[in-house]
Amino acid sequence: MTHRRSTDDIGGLTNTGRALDDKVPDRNLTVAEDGSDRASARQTGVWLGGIGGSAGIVALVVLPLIVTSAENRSLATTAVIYAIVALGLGMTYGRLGLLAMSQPGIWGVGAYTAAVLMQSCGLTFAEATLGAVAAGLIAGCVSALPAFRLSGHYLLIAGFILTALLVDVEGNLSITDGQNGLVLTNPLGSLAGIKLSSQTGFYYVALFVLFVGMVVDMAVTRSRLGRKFGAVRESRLLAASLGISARASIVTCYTIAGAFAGAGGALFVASLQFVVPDEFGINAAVMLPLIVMIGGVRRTWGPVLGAFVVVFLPQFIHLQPYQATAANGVLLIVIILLLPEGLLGGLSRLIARTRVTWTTTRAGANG
Amino acid sequence: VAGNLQIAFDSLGVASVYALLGVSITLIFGLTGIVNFAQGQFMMLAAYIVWALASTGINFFAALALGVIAMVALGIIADQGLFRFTLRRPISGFIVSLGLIPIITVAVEEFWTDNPLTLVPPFTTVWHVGGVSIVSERLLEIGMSAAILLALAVVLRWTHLGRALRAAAEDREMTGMLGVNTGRLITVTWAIGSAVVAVAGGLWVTLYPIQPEFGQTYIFYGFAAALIGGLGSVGGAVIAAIVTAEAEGFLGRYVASTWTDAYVLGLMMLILMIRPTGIFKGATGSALT
Repeated sequence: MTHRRSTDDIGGLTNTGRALDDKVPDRNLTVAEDGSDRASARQTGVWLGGIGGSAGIVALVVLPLIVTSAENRSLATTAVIYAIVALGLGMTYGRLGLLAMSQPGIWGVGAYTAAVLMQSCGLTFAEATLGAVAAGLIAGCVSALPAFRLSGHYLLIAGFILTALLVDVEGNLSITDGQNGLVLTNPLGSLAGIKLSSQTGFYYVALFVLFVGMVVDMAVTRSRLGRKFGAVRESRLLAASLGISARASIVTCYTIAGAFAGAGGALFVASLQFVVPDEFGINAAVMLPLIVMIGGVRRTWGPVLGAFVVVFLPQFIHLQPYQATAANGVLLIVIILLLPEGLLGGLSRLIARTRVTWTTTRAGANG
Repeated sequence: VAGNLQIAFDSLGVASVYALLGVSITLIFGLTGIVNFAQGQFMMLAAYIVWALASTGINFFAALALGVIAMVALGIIADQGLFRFTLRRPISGFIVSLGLIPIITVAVEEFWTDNPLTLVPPFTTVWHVGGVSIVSERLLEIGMSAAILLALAVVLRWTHLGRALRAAAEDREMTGMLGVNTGRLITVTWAIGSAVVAVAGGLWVTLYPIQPEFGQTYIFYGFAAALIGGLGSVGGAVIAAIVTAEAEGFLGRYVASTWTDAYVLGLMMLILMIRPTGIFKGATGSALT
C-alpha cells in the first residue's frame, strides 16, 4: 500500500464516506518513508516492529524480577502510570492532531475522584478505579467542547486554562483538603488475589491497565474510527465532505483519552497514598507532552518508551527531584528541535535508511 | 466610598503589571505567531535579577535598567537559539516555551533561593487624598507602565519601525518582499517584549515578595489580558488588564478571595468560547494594533 491514490479510489471516496475508511490506511497518510525501496523498507519495519513490540512486552513483564531495589521498582510503577496517561494524550495528538492540554487536569480529576471514593466513601480500589474512569470519561467528553470552536493556539490555551482551573478548584475545595493534599489511610486490600500493598503486585495491576490501554489504542488505530481520526486530522473540511463528523471524532477521542487519564489517576493516588493539586499542574503539563514526543508521536509504544526515559533518566544521571523538572524541560526542547519524530520515529527512519542503502548496495554488487 | 477607591487604585497598580505582561505576550504573538508561555518566567527572572542588583546597594533605577538590558539579551538569545527554528511550526514553539518554564524556575532556585524575597522600594512616601492612601511606589509603577505603553503605542503608530512591525504582523512574507528585513524585525520584537516584561518584573519586586513560582501564577493573568483583548492587540491588552485587575480586586474584597483565580480562569474560558479573537479585535482587524 502506498500513499498514491488511484482514480478508482477517488471515485469510491466521493460515492460514500465509508469508502475512506476502507481504502486510505491511516499510516500511509503521513508516514511516507523516503527512498525508492519504500515497500521493502515498510516490510522490514513491520517485522522489526513486531520483534520490538514482543521484546517490549517481555521486558515490561520481567522488569520486577530484574529490578530489585525498592526505589527502582516504585519508579517502574510510576513510569507505567505515566505511560497510561500519556497514551491518552498521544491519542489526541497523534491520531487526531490536537494536543489536549486538558489531560493533566483530567488526570487530577481521576486521582481525586479515586482518593475521595477510597478515603471518604470507603470503596475498594477496584470500585474507586471504575469511578475514576467514569469521572475521566465525563471530564474528557466535556473537555472536547472547546475543540469544536477553537484550533491551534487558542485550543492549546483553552486546554491549559482548563487544567489550571481544575488545579485551582482542587486546591480550594474542602473535600480535597485543599493545598494540604489528601492522605489515604485505608488499607488497599487485594484485587483478584494480588496484594495491592506489595510493590510487585501493584506494578502488575498497573501493567495490566497499561496493556488494556495499548490494546485499545491499537484497536482504535486499526479500526474505522482511527481512520476517521486521521481524516479529521488531515483536513476537517475533507472529513466533513465525506460525511465524517469532526465533532463526533473529537468527542470520542477526548473521551477515550479522559478514561485513560482517569485510570492513571486512580493508580497514581493508590501507589502514592497521597495527592496534592500541584501534581497535576504545570509540571505535568510539561511532562506529559514530553513523554509523548520522546517516544514518538502516533506510535502505541511511544508513550511507554517516553515514560520510562522521563522517569529513569533523572535518576540515571543523579538529579534531585526538583532538578528533574528542569531536565524534562531541556529534553522537551531538544526533542522538539532536533528529533521531532521522537526516539522510535528516529529509529525506524534509521532502520529504513540502512535497509535501503543495504539493498541498493547489494543490487549494485550483483549488477 | 474611600474603601472602594482604595481598591480601585491598588488594583490599578496590579493592572499595570498585568498590562505589561499581556502586551509583551501579545506583541510576540502578533509578529511570530508563537505563544510564549514562559513569559511569566521571564518576568520572574527579571524580578530576581533586579532584586540581586539592587541588593548590592546600587540605585534601584540603575538596577532596573541593567535588568532590562539583561532580559533583552536573553530575549534575543531565546529568539535566535530556540524560537527561530519553530517559526514555521508555531505549535512546536509553544511546546518549546513550555519546556523553558521548569528550566528557568529551577535555575532561579539554584542561583538564588526558594524562599520569598523582598526589596525595600526606592520611594516610601504615602500621601492621603480624601481617605485614600496613595503609596508613591504604586504611583511610580502606574506611571512607568503608562509611559512605556504610551511610548510603545507611539512607536507602533507613527514610526517606520512600527509600520514595518504592523505590516509584518499582517503578512510577514509580503512585508519581506517589500524590502523589510523581517528576520531582524522578529529579533526586535523579542527584544521589545523582553524589555517590557523586565520592567514588569522589576516593578513587581518593589511591591510584593517574589518566589520562583510566581511566574506560573501570573502568566495566566498576562494571558487573560492578551486573550480578552485579542491576541495581537496592544490596546486591547491594556484595557483587558485593567478590567481583570479591578475585577480581581473587587471580587477579592466582596466575594470569596480564594476563588479569584478561578473567576479569572473561568472568564478567560468563556471569552475563548464566545469570541476567540478577543473583545477589542474585529474579525478582520489588523494583526497588530
